[in-house]
Formats: sequence, structure tokens, C-alpha cells
Amino acid sequence: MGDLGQILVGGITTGSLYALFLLGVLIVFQVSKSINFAYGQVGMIAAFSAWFLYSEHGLPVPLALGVGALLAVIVNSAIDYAAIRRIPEGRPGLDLVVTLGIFLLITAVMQQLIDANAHTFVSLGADSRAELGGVVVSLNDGIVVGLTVTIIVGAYLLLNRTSLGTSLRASAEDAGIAQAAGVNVRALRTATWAAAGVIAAIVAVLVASRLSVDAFYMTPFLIKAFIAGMIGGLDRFWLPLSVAVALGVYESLAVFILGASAGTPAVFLLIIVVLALVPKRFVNERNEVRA
Amino acid sequence: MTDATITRPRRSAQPPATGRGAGARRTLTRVAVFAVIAAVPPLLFDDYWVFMSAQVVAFAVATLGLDILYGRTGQMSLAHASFMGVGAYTTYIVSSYGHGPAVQLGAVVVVALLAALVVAVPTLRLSGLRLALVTLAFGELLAWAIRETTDLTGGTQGASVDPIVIGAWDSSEPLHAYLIALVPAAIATLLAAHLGRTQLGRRMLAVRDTELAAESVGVAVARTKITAFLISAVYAGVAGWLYAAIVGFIAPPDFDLFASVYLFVAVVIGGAGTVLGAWLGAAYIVLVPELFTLAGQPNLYPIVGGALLAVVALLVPDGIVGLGRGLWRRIRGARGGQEGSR
Repeated sequence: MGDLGQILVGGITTGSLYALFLLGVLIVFQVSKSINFAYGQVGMIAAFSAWFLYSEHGLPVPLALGVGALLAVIVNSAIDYAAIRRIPEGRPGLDLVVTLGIFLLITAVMQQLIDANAHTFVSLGADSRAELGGVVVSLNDGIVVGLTVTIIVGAYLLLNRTSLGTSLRASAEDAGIAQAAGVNVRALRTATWAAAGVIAAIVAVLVASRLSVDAFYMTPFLIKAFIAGMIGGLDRFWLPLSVAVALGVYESLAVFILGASAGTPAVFLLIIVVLALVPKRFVNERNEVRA
Repeated sequence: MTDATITRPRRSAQPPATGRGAGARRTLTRVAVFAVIAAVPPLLFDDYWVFMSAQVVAFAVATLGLDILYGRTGQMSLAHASFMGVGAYTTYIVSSYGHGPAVQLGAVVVVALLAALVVAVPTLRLSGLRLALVTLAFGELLAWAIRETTDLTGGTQGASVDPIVIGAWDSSEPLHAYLIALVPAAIATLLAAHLGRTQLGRRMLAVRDTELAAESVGVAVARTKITAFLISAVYAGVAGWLYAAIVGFIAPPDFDLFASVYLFVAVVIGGAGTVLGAWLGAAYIVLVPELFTLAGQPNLYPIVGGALLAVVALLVPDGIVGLGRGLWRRIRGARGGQEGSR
């Protein structure tokens, strides 16, 4: 039972990180109807440059993390401003192609500016552990789950209980009408991309504190978050986020039952089975828009 | 709901173009130009550049396949290099049991088709976005499979592949490798060029341009997408087979996500939707990194590749071929507004 509890804690923590990351993907998708394939690399910029600043240039860690997050905000907003907004109407799928190029560009530039190796990141409480009912929980686990819940609930309240949220949902549903009704769609869009940049930075820093940091480490993460979004639907809110947490638990269980190397095929099997079995109406995005 | 369009005799779908004689002449000209260009490396280049040319030929099969999927059908695959990997590793395993090129090729086609079916059938009844994401996961799965089967595949260390030997021909000789690769590449090129004139090719274009309208006139959208995916996977598998035989050594990084992205860069830069663009893209993917290495700046290649992909996709949707066509039209005056056969 202790083992299973441990697996659940690990799974929920990983799943929370998937969910938080997916939140950034969701808000961007809902406001600008585009997928940013370079999103993981935006987070990587934050964590990798923070590492570089505190470890190689002696900056205090909080300051380095702040600069990293600021970089992520700037880069993510720039991706929207310089690329996504310039995609002409009627060329669906181009967002993915263009951001794929940016993905490659960011990876190569960061490798060139820093290096291609993996580095240990500040632990952020990963090494201060306590035992709760036979299960070892680290401070880092607590931070991850706490931040995820706070940010997601905050985002939900912002979207559904404030006038800003109403404007956001209106521009997500129909930018033209929202604009005509006096909503500043462009500013909201920029703010959304900037907020998504902050979320990417937070997740990437947390992931780096649990694993290590290099130019590539966010890609498997991005894939898992996308998979959860794909199963749950990018137009919804709670369902994809719950799927993300469940995916983390599922992955941990697969590793627990079948062995350390079973995670990847188990996740692949899951998507194939889910997509083959779930009714088309349920998993098709773009049919309904809900914030 | 689909048969009215789909089972129409193929000839009736010919464009009311310039008459059959002109079409045949144009085809002959193109074959002649292809033959002349193909003759350049063996006649003028030294062994090393013939070896590089052989790789261009192998990669051309891959980019032609990706072009059928992306350029013509509008579907994104982020695992095209992984399907090359499927071909290369199938080749390695089959050849390690002592089987010759015919058995290797048969096995490559079968395995690539099976893998493509698993990926495509559940996802392509849904949106193209889902295909892109599932192919991403497929790439991870292949990397995992290679890592976990070191005894069979050589694992992360890679594996040496036996050359293709047909009679006196041996693909470890650059010239032989080039000529051996040229045969399947020529066939692949002809098939891809001919595809544009078939019902299937038109259905693909319709699905790419507007899925809803295609469906409303009776095109079986999901089936067309799946067919395109299967064709592209077989092309990639054959390219992997050639690549393994030419280079003689395969390792997981040859077929990872970045390799898939580079194939994408190649197709977009060359000019999506055209056979010529796929060939230009193949030349880009093999020769440009080599040029950067010769210039002492190998790290610039991915930076340039990423920037080019984003910029070209946004600003020059038809790639080099589109630029060339625009230039050609300007040279010939305002004449020739219609598009050539894709």
C-alpha cells in the first residue's frame, strides 16, 4: 500500500505539472486558435537561462529565475506578434509549421549560447522530505501541487467571475464581434500570450528542479501535455486538465506495474486506444468553443 | 456517398489543358532533364560527392513521401524520419538474418504499412492536428523501442548495416550506391508526378484546400488522408532502406524528432506540393549541413534551418519552386498564368 501511495503521489505531482503546462496551451488556443509547438522551448529558455545566470554568472537565484521568466514572457509574446498574427486566413495548420521552425531555432540558439549538456538545477525543496502515512513527500511535491491548484483555480475564477474573463471569453468565441462590442482584442491576446509565457516558465523551472536542465528536456513534457489536451479537447477547461493529471497517474502506474521502461509505450497505447474508441463527436475540437 | 466522384474513369479527369501532344512533350523534356542532371555526379564528381549525391537520392524518396502527405494532402507528420527509421532498422534486422535486397524491401514496405496503419486509422478520422500529435508520440515510441532492444537493434550505440549487393553491384561503392538508389528514386518520382493526374491526387488536393467542401462533393476525407499517410510511410521506409545501405551505419539520432523537423524544413523550403521542390529539399537536407561543416560552422545549420522554416512558411508559401516560377513568369512576360502540373 505504501508503494502504491508513493506511486500515486509521484503520478499526481507529474500530472499536475502536465496540467499546469496544458493550461498555458489551452488559454492560447482558445484566444488565438493556434498551437504553439515551441511552447516547451519557451519554458526551457526561462529555466536554462536562469541556470546559466546563477551558476555561471553568480546572480542570486531569485533574480536569475525572475530574469528567466521575463525572457519567457518576451519570447512567447514575440512568437505571437512576429509569427502567429501574420499567418494569413485560410491556411490552417500553418501555426504548427511556423512554430516548429521556431522550436528548432530556439533549441539551436540556446545550445549555441549555453551548451548541449544537462545540468543540475536548484532543488527548490526536492531534497527536504517528510513522511506522511508511510508515503515520502518532498517540499517540492507540495509546491508543485499547491501552485498548480492555485493557478488553475485562479485562472478559472478570472475567466468566469470577472468582467475581464467575460471579455476574454467573448474574444475567444468571436474576435470580430468582441472587437465591435468594444473589447480590446489585441491587448487581451497579447496579455494571454504573456501569461502563457509565465506559466511555461513556472512549469519549466519546476520540472528542471525535479530532473535537470538542458536544451531538450521540455519536449517529452510538451508531448504529454499535448496528448492530454488532445484527449480532453482543447476547447474545454476542466476535462483536459483532469486528463493531464490522470495521464501522470496512469504513467506512474504503468511504470510501477510493468517496469521503468514501460512509460512511453503505455502512453502511446493509451492515445491510440482512446482515439479509436471514443466517439468522434466527443473528441473533435473547433465544434464548440467554451472557455 | 463517395462513389460518384471516385469511380469515375480516370481519363475524364484530365485537365482540359494544352492537348496531349504538348503534355507528352513536356513529360519527355522533364525526363530528359532529370536524366542529364542524374548523370552529373558520376561523370564530374569525386567519390565523396558521389556518396553525398547518393544520400540526396535516398532523401529525395523521403521528401517526396512527406510532400505527398503535407504538400498535397495538407496533413502534418512529425514522425517522417521515424518511418525512415522503421525502414532502416527493418533492413538491418532482415539483412542480419542473411536476406538479400528483395526480401529487405518487401519487409520494409510491410512493416512501414503496418506501423502507419496503427498511427493513421484511429487518428485520421479526427483532425489533422491529432495526427501531428500522435506522430510525435510515435517518434518517442520508436526511440524507446530501439533503446530497449539493444541485442536486436544495437540500441543507442547504433548498428552497422550490410551494403546492398546485387550481382557485381555493391552499395558500399559510392558510384554503385548512387546508381542503385537512383532506380527506386526514379520510380518514386514518376509515381509522385503521376499522382497529380489521378483521381486520388485530386482528392488529396481537395482535402488539403478545403476539407468541408471536399466532403460535401463526395470525397471520402478520412480514407484519402489515410491513403496519403500510408503512401508517405512506404516512401519513408524505402528511403530508410536506401539510407541504411548507402551510409552503412544507423543510430537513433538519424531518425529522431529533429530529423523529422529537418525533413519538414526540406519540403517547405523546396516548395510544398511539387516533385521538383521535394528534390530541392532533399539536396538542401544533405548538402547544406555539409557546406556549413566545410565552412567550419556546423552549429549554424539548425539555427538557419529553424529560421528558414518559419520565414519561408510564412512569407514564401511555395518555396524555392514558387520563387523560381514567379521569376520565370516575369521573364516570359505576363504570359502563363496557369499552374503547371503538380
